[in-house]
Amino acid sequence: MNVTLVTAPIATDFSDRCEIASCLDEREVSEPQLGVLSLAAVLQSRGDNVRVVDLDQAYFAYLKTSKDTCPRVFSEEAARLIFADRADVYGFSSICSSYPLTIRIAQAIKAAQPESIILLGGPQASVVDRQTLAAFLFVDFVIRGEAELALPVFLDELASARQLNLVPSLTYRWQSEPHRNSTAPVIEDLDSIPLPAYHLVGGLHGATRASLELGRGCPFACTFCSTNDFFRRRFRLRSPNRVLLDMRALAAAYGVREFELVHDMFTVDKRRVESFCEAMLASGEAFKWACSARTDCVDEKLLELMSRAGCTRIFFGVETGSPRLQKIIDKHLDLERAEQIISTTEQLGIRSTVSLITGFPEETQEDLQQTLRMFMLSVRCPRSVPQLNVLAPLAETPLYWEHRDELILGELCSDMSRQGASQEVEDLRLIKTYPEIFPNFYLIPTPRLDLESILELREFALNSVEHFRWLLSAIDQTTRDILGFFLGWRNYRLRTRSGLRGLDLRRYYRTGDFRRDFISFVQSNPAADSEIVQIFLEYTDALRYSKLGITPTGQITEPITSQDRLRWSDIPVRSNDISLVELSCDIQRVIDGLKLQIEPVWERGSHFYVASERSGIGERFQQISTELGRLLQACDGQRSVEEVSGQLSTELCEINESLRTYVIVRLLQGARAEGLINVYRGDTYRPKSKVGATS
Amino acid sequence: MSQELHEPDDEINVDVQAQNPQKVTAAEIEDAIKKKLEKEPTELGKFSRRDKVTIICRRR
Repeated sequence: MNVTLVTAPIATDFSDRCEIASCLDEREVSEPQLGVLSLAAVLQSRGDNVRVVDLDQAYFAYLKTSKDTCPRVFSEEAARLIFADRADVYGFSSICSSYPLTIRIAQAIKAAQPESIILLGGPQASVVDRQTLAAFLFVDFVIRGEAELALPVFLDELASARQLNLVPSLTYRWQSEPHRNSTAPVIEDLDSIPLPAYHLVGGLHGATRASLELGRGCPFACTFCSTNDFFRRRFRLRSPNRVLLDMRALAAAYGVREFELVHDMFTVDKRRVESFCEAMLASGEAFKWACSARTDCVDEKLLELMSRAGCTRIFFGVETGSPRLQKIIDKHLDLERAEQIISTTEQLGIRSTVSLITGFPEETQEDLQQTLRMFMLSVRCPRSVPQLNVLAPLAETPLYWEHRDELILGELCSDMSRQGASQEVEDLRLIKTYPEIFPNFYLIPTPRLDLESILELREFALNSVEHFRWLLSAIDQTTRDILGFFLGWRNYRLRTRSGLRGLDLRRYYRTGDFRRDFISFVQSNPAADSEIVQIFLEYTDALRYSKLGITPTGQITEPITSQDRLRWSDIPVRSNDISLVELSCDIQRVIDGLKLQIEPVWERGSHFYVASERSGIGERFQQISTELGRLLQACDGQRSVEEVSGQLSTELCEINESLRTYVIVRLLQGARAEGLINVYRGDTYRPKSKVGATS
Repeated sequence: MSQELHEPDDEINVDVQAQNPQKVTAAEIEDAIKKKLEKEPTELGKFSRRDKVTIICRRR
């Protein structure tokens, strides 16, 4: 049978190129989606003719080739792409955030080929199966949950007797009403599933890492989480040998040695984690990998073993810093222990993501303060990434059922559902018409907290941490009340930019306007009296000034190449790819103090730093020697090599006078080799010899 | 001690041989220059963009 499988898009949240450039890493988002590729591999192994359309890849291609970007136009484009090779069955995966788009594309396919079969699956369709079939007549079937067993049975029945009642986990129309067959048993032996069919989406060429499934099923039952509806609560792991086999296969085929090991809760069974780590160590492959964990399912010893076995990143879903809410949401984490685990993870050099949620209906200001305390703990760990998500009522979760009659639809919704700064009109129409299918775009009332304030807190927290991580830490250490500080900021923002609401507010927080306003606010805030806050304001100021850039003067053409030798009349110019910053103390010592929440050791005096933006990695800020700093300062495009040498010669008094020129020239050569300066050929070159004797 | 610090250069000739202090070896000077060019990473810097993607990929 001819089957086209379509992935659930992620990147389509973002509507223009600038937004994508600032919010997404194209390569990461374009990573093949395991669910669809796993099904494709199963179907291929039985001889079906399978095609996979990756909508993220299609979206990036669309952005590159289209003049005007418009999600509505993309849905038509996507439908054309999917329809280009006619299939008997079009199977769509789904996630909550792009479900409206998936529905619209499916509708376009059905309109173009009415006899085709439209089948939905994936996390979202699985839980709103009956509602979807009732609302959208162009959707023929939904397969709920993991489909490796059910999909082949479904295709066989389609091709033969059409005894649909025999297909496990299938939801279909029976006498015009949605009908659910009983749910298929979970797949116990995950090793029996073939390697995902990466080749159907162009393979992993050029990728530095790949996702691999480690297992399925989370035994916990948090009230906000939807994972159990899809994978159920039966915890399963693939064997270490099988995971290693797949890793080796991908390493051999594509050179990938870093893996995102996908499992909602890998560390439930410590002994099995140990076995996995030991297998990784014994393999001698030195593969790197990342996983998810609960803070109460790891300990120091296990983390140390995981680190040795190649674990480089762990996602911790802490959710709330409030012990009271931990009980209410049925998460039950010991938060003191969670703090210790996050700190240990940091000390072991493992990167962490600390995911937190605000906007619970029972949440009070005190609960939120406690959550922000946990957030700031993550901020103080340089290898940790704090997340603050606004609660989304995911379909069919206990939380949704409790509050489904009081959902609120605003312009801003949870970032779990939409991260972009715009909303497609057609999607919005669907969301408004069918709240029971798209509840995640709604919010739950928070009687004890101002919902608008919470939505803004999320934008503030993530954007301020991105640009002012240590300034925020310094403010937290000074005020001990980051929520109070935010509320003060919000009042200031409401006064100075009163018209901003909804998506405009989201856009604002992603612009330089927010960053400038924020610095102005901090400068006028009592927190700025603190020395640790001042030093980060000094840093921000110095960085901004240094980014103004410099242009060489005089008759200057192209920089000389690395093969060209320096001449005295050449003009060395600081590279515009770097920012040179001079600060009045050693800022790393201040950071060391913030990390431990103690008064920093102040090392006063000029300290020089170089900031450089590295694509996809972010900004690096490195300390350089005073001599190199002075040299780069002198390379302002106004001076020749000879003049730079002359100026520095008087400043570098600690260097023996007879050696200064030599040292300066060598420093210039070194700075040039490292790309810190470019050298331009001046037109007044005069050869000079024996500098030592003439200087 | 007399050591050549730098190959004679057509463009910039550096000859410290005549003034080279007896107590400083060429290797020591080269080592000092190398140290002055070294960069020490600080923990100040922006987040990586990768982290933003993590938020998205965690969604269901």
